[in-house]
Amino acid sequence: MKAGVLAEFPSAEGVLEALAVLRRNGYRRLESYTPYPVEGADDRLGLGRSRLPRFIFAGGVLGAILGYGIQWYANVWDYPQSIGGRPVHAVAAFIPATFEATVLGAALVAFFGLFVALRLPELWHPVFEIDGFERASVDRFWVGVDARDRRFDDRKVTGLLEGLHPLRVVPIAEDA
Amino acid sequence: MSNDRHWWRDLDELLDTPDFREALGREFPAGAAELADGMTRRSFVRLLGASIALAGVGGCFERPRERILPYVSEPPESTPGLARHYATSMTLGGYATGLLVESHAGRPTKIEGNPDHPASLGAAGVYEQASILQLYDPERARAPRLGRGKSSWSDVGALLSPARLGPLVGARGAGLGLLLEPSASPLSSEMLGRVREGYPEAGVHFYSPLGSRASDRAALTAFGRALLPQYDFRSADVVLSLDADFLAGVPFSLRYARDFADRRRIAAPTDEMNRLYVIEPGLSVTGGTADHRLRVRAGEVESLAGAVLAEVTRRVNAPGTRGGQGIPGDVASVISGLEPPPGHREWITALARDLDAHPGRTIVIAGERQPPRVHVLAHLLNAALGNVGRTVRYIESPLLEAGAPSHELAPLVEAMRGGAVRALLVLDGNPAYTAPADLEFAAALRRVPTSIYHGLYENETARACGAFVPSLHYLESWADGRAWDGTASLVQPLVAPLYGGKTDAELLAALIGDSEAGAHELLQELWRGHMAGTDFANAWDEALQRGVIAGSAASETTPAWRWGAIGTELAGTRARADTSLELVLDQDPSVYDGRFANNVWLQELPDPVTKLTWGNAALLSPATAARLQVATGDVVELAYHGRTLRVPAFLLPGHAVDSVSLRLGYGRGAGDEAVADGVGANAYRLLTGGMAHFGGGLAVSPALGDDGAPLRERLATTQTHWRLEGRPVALRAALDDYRRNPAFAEPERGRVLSLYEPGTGSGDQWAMVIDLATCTGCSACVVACQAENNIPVVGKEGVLDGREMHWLRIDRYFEGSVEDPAVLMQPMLCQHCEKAPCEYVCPVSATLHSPDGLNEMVYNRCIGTRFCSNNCPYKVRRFNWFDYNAEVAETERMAKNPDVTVRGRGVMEKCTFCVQRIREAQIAAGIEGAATGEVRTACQQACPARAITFGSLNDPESELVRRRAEPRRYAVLHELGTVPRVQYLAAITNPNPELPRGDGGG
Amino acid sequence: MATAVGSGPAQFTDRLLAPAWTPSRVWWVLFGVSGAGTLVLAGAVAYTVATGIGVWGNNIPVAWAYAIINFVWWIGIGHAGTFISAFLLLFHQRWRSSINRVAEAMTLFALVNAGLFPLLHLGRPWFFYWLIPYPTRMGVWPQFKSALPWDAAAVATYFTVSLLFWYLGLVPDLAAARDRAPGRTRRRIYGVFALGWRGAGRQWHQYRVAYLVLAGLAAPLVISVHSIVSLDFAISQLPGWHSTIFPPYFVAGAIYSGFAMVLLLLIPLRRAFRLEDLITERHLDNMAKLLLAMAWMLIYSYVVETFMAWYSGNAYERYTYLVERPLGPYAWIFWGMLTANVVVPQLFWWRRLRVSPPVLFAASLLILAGMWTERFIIIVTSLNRDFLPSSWHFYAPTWVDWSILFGSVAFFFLLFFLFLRFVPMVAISELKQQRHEASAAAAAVAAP
Repeated sequence: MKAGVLAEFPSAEGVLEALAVLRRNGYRRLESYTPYPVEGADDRLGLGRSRLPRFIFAGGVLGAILGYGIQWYANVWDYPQSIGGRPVHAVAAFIPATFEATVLGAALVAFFGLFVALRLPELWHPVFEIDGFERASVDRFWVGVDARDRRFDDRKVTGLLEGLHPLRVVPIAEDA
Repeated sequence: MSNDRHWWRDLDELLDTPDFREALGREFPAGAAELADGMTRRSFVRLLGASIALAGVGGCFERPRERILPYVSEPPESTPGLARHYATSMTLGGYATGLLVESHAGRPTKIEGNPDHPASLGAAGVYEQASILQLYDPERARAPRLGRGKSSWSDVGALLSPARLGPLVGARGAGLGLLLEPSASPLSSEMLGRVREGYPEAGVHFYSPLGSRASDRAALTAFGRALLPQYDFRSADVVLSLDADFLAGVPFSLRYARDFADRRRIAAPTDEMNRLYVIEPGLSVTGGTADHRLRVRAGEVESLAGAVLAEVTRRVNAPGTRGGQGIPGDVASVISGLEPPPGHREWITALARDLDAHPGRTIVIAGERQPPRVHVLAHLLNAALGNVGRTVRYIESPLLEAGAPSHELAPLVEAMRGGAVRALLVLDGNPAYTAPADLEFAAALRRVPTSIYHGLYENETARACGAFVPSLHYLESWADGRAWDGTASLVQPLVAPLYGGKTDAELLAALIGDSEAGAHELLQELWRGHMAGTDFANAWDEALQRGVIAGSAASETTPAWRWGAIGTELAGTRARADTSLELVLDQDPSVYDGRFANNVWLQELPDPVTKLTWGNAALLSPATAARLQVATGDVVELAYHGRTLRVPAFLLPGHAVDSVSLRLGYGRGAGDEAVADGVGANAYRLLTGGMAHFGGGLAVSPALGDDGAPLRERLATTQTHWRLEGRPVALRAALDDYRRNPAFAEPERGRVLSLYEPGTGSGDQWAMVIDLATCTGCSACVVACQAENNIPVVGKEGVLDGREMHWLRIDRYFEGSVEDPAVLMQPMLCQHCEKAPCEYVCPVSATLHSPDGLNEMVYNRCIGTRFCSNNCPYKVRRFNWFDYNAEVAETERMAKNPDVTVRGRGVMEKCTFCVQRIREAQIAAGIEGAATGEVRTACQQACPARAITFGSLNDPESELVRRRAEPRRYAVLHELGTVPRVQYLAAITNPNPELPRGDGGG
Repeated sequence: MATAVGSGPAQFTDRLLAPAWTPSRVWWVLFGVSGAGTLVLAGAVAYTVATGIGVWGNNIPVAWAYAIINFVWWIGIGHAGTFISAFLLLFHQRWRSSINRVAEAMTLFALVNAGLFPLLHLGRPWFFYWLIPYPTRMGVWPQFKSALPWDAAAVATYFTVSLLFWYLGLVPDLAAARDRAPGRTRRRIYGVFALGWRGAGRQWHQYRVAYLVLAGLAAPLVISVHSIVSLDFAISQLPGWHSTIFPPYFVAGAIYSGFAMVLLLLIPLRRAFRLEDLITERHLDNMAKLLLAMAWMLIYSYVVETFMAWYSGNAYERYTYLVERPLGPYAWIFWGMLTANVVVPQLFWWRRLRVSPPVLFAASLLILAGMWTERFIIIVTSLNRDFLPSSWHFYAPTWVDWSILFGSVAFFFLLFFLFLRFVPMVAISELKQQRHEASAAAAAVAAP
């Protein structure tokens, strides 16, 4: 979220409660910032199942095809040679490298796919401008409502958040 | 107790593995020395420079001025890039051997035998093969020397001229001495004749350290003439060798090995083969081949020979037999008195019966090392057995002044010491080094006011002489020579002298005032006389092209027996030699008498029986070693007639007890020959007057260092384990067993169950068969391979580290008892497996299979993982651990075969089946649109015994296919399913059923 | 999971990040020593490449020796890291969190060392890239029937995946380091490596999926890599190499040596940084148990391969296993190996010894040495006496061999010390999560 209202809590429980309340009040564009993943936050944020695994699987399949393909092309099609009286197309011999290629393909997609999905690296972000937000990676827990939420109303949201006894409530703006 | 432990340690080292003693030697991490070793500090820059220099040589070669003629079978016109062969001959030990020399762009590169020459029949031995490297030896002398400073031929020539020499040595030349090597050269004879005309009283002497010329003295005793026996091994059923290494160590060996092998090569079990008995002290190549070998001290050979003669005559004179060969009564009675030493009676009786059973079809041959009496006994045995005129023929010895006193060195040295010799001219040889130690030759030489040495190197003798004239290598010379059977042949040069120098003839010409005479003219002048009547020009060309002078072989003469002399000679036969420890001096199978000590190929060539390289050792039997408490590698001090020599001990199974043998020719030094310098120990220091090459009275004690600790030395052997471990690697069977069960090799050949059946392709499918029955282990093939394929040497350190580069090695195994084992020789090279284990493990397909069945090695592609070597069960692959070729001297590069890649650092290499020869033949065939003709690999070509056969599996006419069909064919490590293209024919021995089996080669 | 008394998440974080801010004098000393050792390695390598591997003790028949021994040894050590981070994660072994970062780092550095040797042992190292399939003018390719290209693929993949996995785990802690680091420069540097991580719910959501999948991918790698390494030997027909038990045998040995190395690193670490509350007796106990388990898998392999050699009736196999190894010139190494790998771990039947740092440390050292000698036995004693007695030859290493071996050990520690100095050495956010969940659970129990 680039703009909206943030509230800082001392504990994960605070965040979970706040998310629940905000959701009950019909807010949908919510976000939380925590030092570690908080159990139960996902559905309160309304996040469905990740689509990453499908891409990873595809990456694995691609790796396998490439892995076997290269070996076949090199030793069978492009430059077959008489090696130790063995058949040119030695399927068994091609398996180990193929397996490694599979894993490599999947792993690369998993790693880089993740950062694509998260739009990282993103070295600057409005929330970083909030004084004290750096503790979000250490021991503080933040909840935010995105200004783009269709029911977003500055005063209402602030009031609602204040009611949850946060340490403080901070608004952020795009051009902050 | 400690004794026992010591004995066991010896036994352990002997039996189990010399790894153990290597382990002892390796207290410090190996290669700690390597820093000091230049080889490991070669930089790329140096390599770069070298290769640029290398690019230079090749075309830039000067042909001899005179007209030389290629071998007749060659096309007359010369095609650039194609090698040509020239016939010439090399003289060693006084006798010539005919050769064909391959020449690329006027640069001799490879030496092969001349099929038309009786001493070669196409084979070439170790010395002949390696002599090419001597031609290019950078340490050869390059300029004449007068006193200390360099000089010119004109000065030295002037010194030799009668004008200058006459006043010095007296008008009749009483003060002039000439010392030559024994020679059979007509030209030398001619020139010596002229010298004698000029200086009638000049003293001409001949000296060779090898062979005491006992045979000549024996002949004088028996026949009054220096007759030379000629043996016909093709028609001999039984052969008895009295300490004669006739298969490898005598001037006519190549021929003898060929003839002998022809009687051992049995295609079918029903064939007949000869039987060989050997009585000898050390273990020789011939002894290893023997069916029955009696290992006795050299001093006992005499009494045994006598006993055999007694037994034989007893039989032939027995009533109802052929009757004695005219041996008069008194001699016969002397003979009948000859008693065998205890213990061998049974052996001798069986032997005598066997000899007697083949009248006129046996040979008894005595070794040059043995005293005249043994030779006389041999003559008598051959006579008694009716061999004379059949298997043994006599000719006048082709050697100049054979048997004459001029072959004694002592009188000359006496004269030198006495100051009678005012001027001495030494032609070739190296007497200062090879003369018996007690003659103090070098010292005597310094007493001679004017001494001139003429040789290839500024060696020990040159150092002791006032003046020096470089001689020419035979590949640079015009000369001639005679073979053992008297056949004359010409020596024609292949290149103009590399460094300049003179031939013997030219030097002798200078003595009589003609210092500008050329050997070519002298030679033609001589032969114009000999070839009188014929059209000389044609005869000359014919002689040059053929490499032999037709019909020049000596004719047979019938010996007249001098019974009186014989009787008195025999009367002196001792029944029992003294029992003290005995020293036996041997000709070295690598460096000969020491003249080849500067030849790296020969220094690194493993001794056929000990597998020792780079040096010699005191060889003794395990039992003797145990008694003396020495182990292999212990340095011992040999005390012999007041002289001592330090040399490492080496335990050799099969060596006679109470006898220590030592190879001559090492421990060189005090000369320009840097390679030879300090390698091994100088056995000549123990060679004493009378020039007996063996004798009792030797004392052996462990040598102690300055700190009083026993000294040890690491001996560089290429084979550290001697037992077969019962593995089916080198198969052998006795003839009877072979006949009883011709299929004994069956389990080691044929199909192995496999998922992938390799089909033998079409067209040429190259393969090789090696006959272990005829292989003697002489190692001619190893040097041939090295010369043909540009194989580098690695030095003593390299061999110690197990990094020798020979593509073809000869494995030597001992079977049976440690004391008196049977010997098995097995040439081992890349087996060119149809299902090569090396190929499928190479990550970059640097080794792969060619359509015609070669296991190919692509040097450019090799990155040196060495996985192929690990997976090669035959361990025939070699690796370039360093940039070995950066070591090769500028001149030696000229010996490289331009048809074969010179390998760089970090790549694998191995036998290629001489692929360059195969492709050459295929290209030639392609041009004519014919099928590929005969291809002969270098090893096959060199083998005197013709043990190696090469050809295509798809050529039903080929000898290869015929030999592969023999029942004794098998594949080494057959069970592994590598389907090798190299297959072996199991060795067959022919033991006498009357004698106990097992040991002694039975 | 133990909780550190009286330390809130903030202090907890700072405590674990502290080593990165201020290096101790000890660190400088260790850094210097390992640095010097690394220079020795560099020198020996330069000498080898300039001169030729003839400066090593290798010969024909023993064409492989120290280089390959070291390669297998280092690769094996690496396996423990992945095993801890991947397998234990999949099996929900929460105790792994306090050691996995160190273990993964160890894996990477072991692999860096391992990767050095296959290149170095080549006759012409500058052509190592010919093992990679790339189109060339000559149209030549690697030969994939050989185990070496498999090897190259396996090691390359293994290193890549380990690196990604390690980095992914680091990101939240790098963010923490960014936010706690003293001074602007450090903040910026860590900031860059943290890639702008904000700990947003959406990020955590995907992050956990990716991390779990990578773990799932790393797990089979652990098995495959050393299996393939073992094929370098198993596909040959050399007695002592040609054995079907090699893949599991090698994997077990790998993890065995790896755990020994982890212990070797953790025990001093635990003391130095007062981590007893994180790396507890339970950790030591568990890892000792794993050592014992792996030891028995090895023992099983030893027994089976020897039995098979005898049972096969093959003369060559029998010679290698029943004569050459127990009685040959290297017998003393063989028996030393058995002592280290078989006898020593039996100590861990007693809990008291399992949790005693000195005992564990000593045992780990012995086991590491034992595993190195095991590879020596496998490689050298199989090669030095194979089929033809004529080609048997002794092998002895040179001073260059030794320099390279010890140099690579120094290099390993150099990398490790740098890691301690600049990277959060414990998975902080994971631990904080566990502490939170633990306390939450406790609270739930407390409130009826």
